[in-house]
Formats: sequence, structure tokens, C-alpha cells
Amino acid sequence: MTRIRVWLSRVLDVMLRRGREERLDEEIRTHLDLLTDEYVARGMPRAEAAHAARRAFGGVDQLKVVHREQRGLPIVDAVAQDVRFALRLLRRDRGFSMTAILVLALGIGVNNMLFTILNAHTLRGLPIDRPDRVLAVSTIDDRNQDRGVSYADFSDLRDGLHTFMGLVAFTNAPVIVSGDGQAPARFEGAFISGDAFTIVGGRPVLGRAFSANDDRAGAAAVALIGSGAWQTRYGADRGILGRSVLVNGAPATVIGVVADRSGFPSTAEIWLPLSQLPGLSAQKRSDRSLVVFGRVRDGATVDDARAEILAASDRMAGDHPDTNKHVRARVVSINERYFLSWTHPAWFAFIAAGCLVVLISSANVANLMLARAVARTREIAVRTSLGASRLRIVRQLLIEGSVLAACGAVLGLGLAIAGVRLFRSAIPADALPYWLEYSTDSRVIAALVTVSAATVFVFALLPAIHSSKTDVNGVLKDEGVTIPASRGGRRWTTAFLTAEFALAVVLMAQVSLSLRVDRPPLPSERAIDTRDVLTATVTLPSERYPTPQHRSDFYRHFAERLRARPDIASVSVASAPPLMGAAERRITFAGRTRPPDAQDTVRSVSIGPRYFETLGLALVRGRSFPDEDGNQPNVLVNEELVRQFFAEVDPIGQRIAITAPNAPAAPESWVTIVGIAPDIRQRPGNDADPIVYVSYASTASVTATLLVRSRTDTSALATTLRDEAAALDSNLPLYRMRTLAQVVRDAQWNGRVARMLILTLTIIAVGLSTVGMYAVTAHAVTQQTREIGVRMALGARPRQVAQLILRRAMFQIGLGFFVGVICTILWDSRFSTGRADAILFDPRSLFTIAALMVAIAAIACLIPVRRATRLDPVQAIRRS
Amino acid sequence: MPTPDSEVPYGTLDLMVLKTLAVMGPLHGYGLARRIEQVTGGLALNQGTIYPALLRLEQKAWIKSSWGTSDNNRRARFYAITAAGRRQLAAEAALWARTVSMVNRLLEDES
Repeated sequence: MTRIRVWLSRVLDVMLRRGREERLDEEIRTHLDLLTDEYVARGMPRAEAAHAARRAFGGVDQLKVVHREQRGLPIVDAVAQDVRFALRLLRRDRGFSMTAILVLALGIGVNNMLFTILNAHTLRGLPIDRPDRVLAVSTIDDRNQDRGVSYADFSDLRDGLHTFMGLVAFTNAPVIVSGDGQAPARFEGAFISGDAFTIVGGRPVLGRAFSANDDRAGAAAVALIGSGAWQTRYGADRGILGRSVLVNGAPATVIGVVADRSGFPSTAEIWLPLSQLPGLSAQKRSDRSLVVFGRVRDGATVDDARAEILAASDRMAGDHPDTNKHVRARVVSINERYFLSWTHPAWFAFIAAGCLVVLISSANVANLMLARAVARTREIAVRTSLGASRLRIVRQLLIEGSVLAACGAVLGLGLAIAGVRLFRSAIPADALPYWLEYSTDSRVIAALVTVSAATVFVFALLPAIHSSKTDVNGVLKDEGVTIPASRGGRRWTTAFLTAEFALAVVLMAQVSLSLRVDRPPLPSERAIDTRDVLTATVTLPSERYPTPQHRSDFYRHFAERLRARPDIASVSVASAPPLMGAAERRITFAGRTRPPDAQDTVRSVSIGPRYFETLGLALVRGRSFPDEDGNQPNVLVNEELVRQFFAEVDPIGQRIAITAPNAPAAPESWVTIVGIAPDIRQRPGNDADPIVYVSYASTASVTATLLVRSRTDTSALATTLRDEAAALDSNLPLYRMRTLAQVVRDAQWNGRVARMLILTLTIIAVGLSTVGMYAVTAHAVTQQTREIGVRMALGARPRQVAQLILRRAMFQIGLGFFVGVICTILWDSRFSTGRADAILFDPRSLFTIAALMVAIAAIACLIPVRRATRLDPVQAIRRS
Repeated sequence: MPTPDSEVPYGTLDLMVLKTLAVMGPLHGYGLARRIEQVTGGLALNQGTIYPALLRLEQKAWIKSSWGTSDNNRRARFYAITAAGRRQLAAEAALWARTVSMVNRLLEDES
């Protein structure tokens, strides 16, 4: 109790800056005055009395010291003093400080950037209340595929549960909103069961959320609008409440506005009760498309809840053997459902890179510190001899390190934020849902602090402990230079440099491989002028366009209207534009067998008339396809397909059949190849696939992409397209409208981001290696000052001195290169899809990397070599 | 914490201060030092040593202090014993008495 009181009093002294010192001064003064008065009263002359008073009082300064130590927190004062000293020191040695801070900032920054991304993808989770108690239910079928839950199963499951507050289901589906006085628009929609928001998250900012009543069959149709859509489409008008809009053509009343990032795992812009999902009650028990969540009731454990669901799923397997016999429920926490675990192998390279870069940068700073340690050794020796304890010295060095690390951390955080922003900007805006937001939250800051503290440990604490062992006598007698570097120490720096170079080599090899492996556009793709082609996606509602005939008629009319305009050169339609995917199909040949080494799958794209003309490409051979009437059983194949399957035979006139890969065997419907199309990829990051182009009229998917080649600026074309579409069907939105150039760009973001990331890491690794090389070489030169001096005195030329230094550097570079190549092979054997030893057969890459490394060494050795060759031998020897 | 430059055994100065304040009422540092000197019969005490002791006791909340005016009109800090200080004094006095009697008995036996 008393001890706490004393401590508290000391803390208050520091915090309140209580004027203890002034008070003591005044008390001493009064004391001395009173004492003097007394002596004077006894008859002493005043001057003598004052002396006597001081004698009787004792040493004033000593007293003050004792008093001072007894109040406040001396450690705080001492640390503040150390920090001031460290700042002064770092300011004096500006070159060193800047380099060290920059190196640390790079390491900490890259680490923090990677952690920010890792955090968003694995650690943070959904912004909902107690996410560990919200479970996601899905089903596993006999082929071990994870699927949703059917409506019938969900209804059965929901009714008998005891351990759950409730079970909710939802499914995402795009909807068309119209009838509100604006152009019809397509929105991401979600159909959710009544109490979904209460269970999972989701917060109305205006109006109310759905109740169980809204979700009854036959209830009045209602809708909730996302806050984003509310702002953009309705100008945040509060009058939207109670208004009726057309959703997929049917009226629904808006009863509320929901925050967009509410925690519910859907990016929906409009929310509808599950009961309004068309055809819900008719869905078969085997249509497993709903996402199901439940919140565990208070008092029940998550394990109980999981067991109850599994038991219910087993029961249903017995009740409905024909649909559920091989289906079992899978229950995981909601965050496990939507986020990868950070232990997932996909993150391995990420985490490894983050740790490595920090380790390397702090080891680099440790080396920089060593290179400068000679001056410090002397300073430390002096301080030790003046009575500083070892702890005191270590503390001083540690505080210097902390000051460096703190500066590095601040700068690093800035770099990390900038890096994350750059990284995010390379990813299309809608590619990530809102819950994967790369933000700097408290966890990221905690990681920043931890990592920065760890760097202090590596680059300051270990060297500090080492230098605090300084042999005072030896150093002071020898005028403070060169305790010759221990063999062990030198071996460590070499090992460290080798590792650093090896890493740089591995990364450079990856860059060079990725540049080489990165598929350049095919010649035919390069021929497409992507900027003049505007694409837009159209979904024809099945209520108004029930048959393929209706749908292909729509496009024929649409194309005719557009083609009549002077600013439009050509119009076509396709199931997907280039790079936007293609269906997988199994191919069979009439009258011949498949070549023995060829696969049996191809890709299929359905196209309308003038598809290749709109892209600006001519057919390689054969006749244009499909014709205006478009309904013949004819197809085009691309050159790759010909290469793979028709090496010896002329494909034109041959008959093939293409079927869905998992479809049950059915009588083949043969189609005839009438022409050969140039190669265009449908999948980014892959080589050309064999592709069969079928007529859109024969398949007529509900969603298709319109392609329009413009004679003028495509930006003016968007309105034209919308107006023309509205003239045909006033409730039909065109969406995802972008030029083909944008399509290509967006489709390739994945590879682009990966390339950018690895390139950045490589540049940083190379930069760090340069600094590391510099630090080690500079250190070596300082340590060898006397030796160099002696050599020069004995007639060594500057060139020979330079050789002495460069030989060592080249040895380290060579070793690093060798180890790096081996590591590259190991790395590729684990992560690369190609040959593991590809790097060995790529002399150009090898040569480039080697040349780069020599350049690194040259830059790094420049200053140390210059210093060594300009040494004045007399001074060098004498100073040592 | 041993107080430097004092021939006063460790801890006894605190006890003396408490006792003096308990008997005399509030005193300033000078008065305290004088009083202790008088009572102990010219203990060779550096008068300054009293201040760390006062700080120590105040931190433990056994005494409290406030500004006041001395007899000859000088601003001075006056120290007074607190209730906690009186309790501590009683406890320490008893302990001291016991210690002294024990040491005495021991010394008598030895001689």
C-alpha cells in the first residue's frame, strides 16, 4: 500500500511537473537564512555566520541530488536525456542516419504493406458482432464439392433447431430496377430471408429492415435499397420511403435504406425478401443455391450447434434418400467461409517475403552500424572508463536504435499506405467486395510497432551487447581503432551478404521468367483495334424473352437499328467478348478418332453475325459465319483447334459434335466446320485454347455481350446504345459498358498486380543488397586502414589497393549468385508450373542478372574504394 | 535508502521526525533540525539531511506540508504529522523499543 502510494507520488511528479525543485530551493534558502540569523544573534559577523550556516547544513548540491533521485521517475528523465543525445548524434552523422532510416523504412514499409493485405484477406473478418458465433452452413456432395443449401432443405432445417437464435438464407441475383422515372438499371440484388439482418448484420440507415411478415408467401412486395444506390440513383432523397418501383418488372415498395458496408456478406445494392425470388417454392430439393447462416443462441456452444446441424443433415439424408443420400452439411464459422486462413499455403510466399525483407533491412542497418562502430567503440570506452555501467551503455545504444526505428516506422507507414493504395488501384474497383478493404486498422498499427521493435532487437540490441563488452584498456591504449574483426563476425557478414544476394537473384529470376512467360498478345489479337469497340452486357429477362428465338430476334432488331446509324461501323453479339471466358465442351469427331495425344475438351463461344468483322479481323479460311438467318448447324473453329485436332486433314467440311463436359451421353448433334477463325484468347493468362464458334441463334443465352465498332469516339456511343435499347424495350438496362481495351485491361489485372508486386520487391531487394554491400565493404576498409596504409607505404598502387577490396566484393557477389541460382531452382520446383531448372536454359536472363549484380557491387564499392585509394599512408599508419 | 553523511542509524531519522512533529505540532525544516539537535544532545547531523527524510515521509503520506510564515516573518514550508503518521509512529516506536531491549539483553549477556 505504502509502496504504491510512493510510486504514485513519483508518477504525479512527472506528470504534473510538480515544482519540487523550486520548493526545495526555497526551503534551503529559508533554512540557511534562519540559521544565519541565529548565528548572527549569537554574535557572529554576518559573513562568517553565512559560512557557518552552510557548514552546518551540509553539501547543498549533494542534498539536491539525493532529493532528486528520491522523487519523480529518474528513468524517465534519463531516457529523455538519452533520446536527446541520440538525436544529436544522428543529426551529426546525417548520411548514416538517412541511409539507415531509409533502409528500415523500406523493410518496415514493405512488411506493413504485405501485412495490410494479409490482414484484409485473412485476419480482419466481417464487421459483425461476435462473428465466431455466426455459422455458415453449406453442403458437401459425394464428389466432395462444396455447394449451397436448397430451399426445401433450408425450410426443414430451420424449423427444428434448438441451439440457434435463427437460421437465415440468401442468394445473390442481379435485378432490373425501372419504373422510377429513370433509365432502367441493373443492380446487384440479394434475396434474403426475413430476419437475416438481425442475425448477421445489416443496418437500415433509413426506414426499417424486413420482418418475418415481409418474407411470407403472398406478402406485399417490398424492397430495401443500399445506401450507395440510394445516393447515386435517388440523390439521397428521403421521400424514397413508401415509393413503388418496378423490380424485374413487378412493383415493390421501398421500405428502407441499408448501409452498404453493413457486415452482411453481400455486395447487393438492392435487397428483396427471399419469398420474392421467382420460382422459389418450385425449386427442387437438389437445387442447392442458397447461402445459409445461423447465430448460435446464448448458452449453447458452437460445437453443440454444429452437432445439431450435422444430425439434422443425417436425418434428412434418411428422409429424402433420392436427393440427400450422399449430401452432408458442412458447418464453419462465417469468417472461415469468406476468408482464407493465414496459414493457407497461398499466403506462404507472402509471409515469407514480409519477414525476409524486414530481416534483411535490419541486418543491413546492423552492418551499417558496425561500419561506424569504430568511432563509437572509442566513445563507449571513454564512457565506460568514466563509470558508465554496461546496462547504461546498452540502454544508450538501444535508444539510438529505437529513435532510428521510430523514424523508419513512420516513414515506412507512409510507404506502406502509398504502396497499398497503388496496389489497390491496380485491381479493378469491383473485383473485391467491401469486406476485403485494405485499410490501416489497429491490427496493422500493432504489427507495425511490433515489427519495428523487432528490428531494434536485430540491428541495435545484439550489436549493443557486443560493443558493451568493449575492452576499455585495449581500445584506449590503441588510440581506439580496430579490435581486429573476429573470424566469426566476418563469417556472419559474408553469410548474410550471400543470403541477401541470393534473394535478389531469386527475385530477379522470377521477374525475368515472368516477363518471358507472360503471354504477349497473339498476332491476331494485336490486330484488333480495341479502343474503337464498345462492349455492353445485356440480360434479357426470361419473362419477356422466353425462347432463344425471341432473344436472337431482339439482337437482330437491335443490330439493324444500330447499323442504320452513320457513326456505327459494325455490330455483333457474343456470349462473352475476348478474355472474358468461354464454356468448356467435350469434342467428338464424325468418322475419325481423336488424335492420341490431344485432350478431349475445347472451349465454345457463341457469336452473332459479323462478330469477326466487328473485331476487325478476317477469317483465316472458309466462309463467314453465321449468316444473317444464323440457324444452320455450322461452326467455325480457330487455328489452335486445327493445330491440335486436324494436323493431317482439312477441317473444312468435317463434322464434329460438342457437348457439355458432364452431360449424360446423348445422341450427338453433328455440326459442320465451315471456316477457320484467327486465334483469340478467351481466358487471360493462358495460351490460346482450341475454340469452337457456334451461332448465337442456336444457343441464345439470356446474358450476352453486345459489341459495337464505332466510327467516332466511343464515349459518345454509350448514350446512343442506351437510347436505341430503350426504343426496343424500355425496361432493359445495358450494363458493364466499356471499350474492348478496358475489357482486356481489367481481365489481365491479376497477372499485372502479381508482376507489379514482384517487380517492386525485386527493386527493393536490389536496393537493399547495394546498401548491404556498401556497409560491409566500408566496414572492411575501416578495419583494414592500417593494413592498407602499410601496403601503400611499401609501394602498392591505388589500383592494387582497389583490387584488394574488390576481390572480396566479387567473391561475395559470386557466392551470392551461385546460391541464388540454386535457390531459384528450388523455388521454381515448388511454385512454378514450368520447368524447375528453366533458369539454367535462359542465358539471357542469367547474363542480365549477373550484369546487374556486378553493377550493384560497383555502386556499393565506389565510396569505400575511393576512400581507401586516397588514404594518406602516413596518417593511416599513425592513426591506427 | 541510506541517507548519506549522517551518523544516524538508517530509519531512525524518520522516527525522530515523526516523534518531534507528534510532540511539537507543525514545524518547518529548520525548526525540526534544531529541535532534533537539541533533544539528541548535539547529534552531528548535517541539517540538510532532514529534507530527503521529509520528502520520503510525505511520499508515504505520513506527514503533510503547507506554506506558512515563520516566527521572524519568513515564508517557510511547515510539516505536520498525519493520522497515518501517528499510527506508523506508534508501530515504529514499539518495534524500536523491542529492538533496543533485545540488543541490550544480548550485549549484557556477552559481557
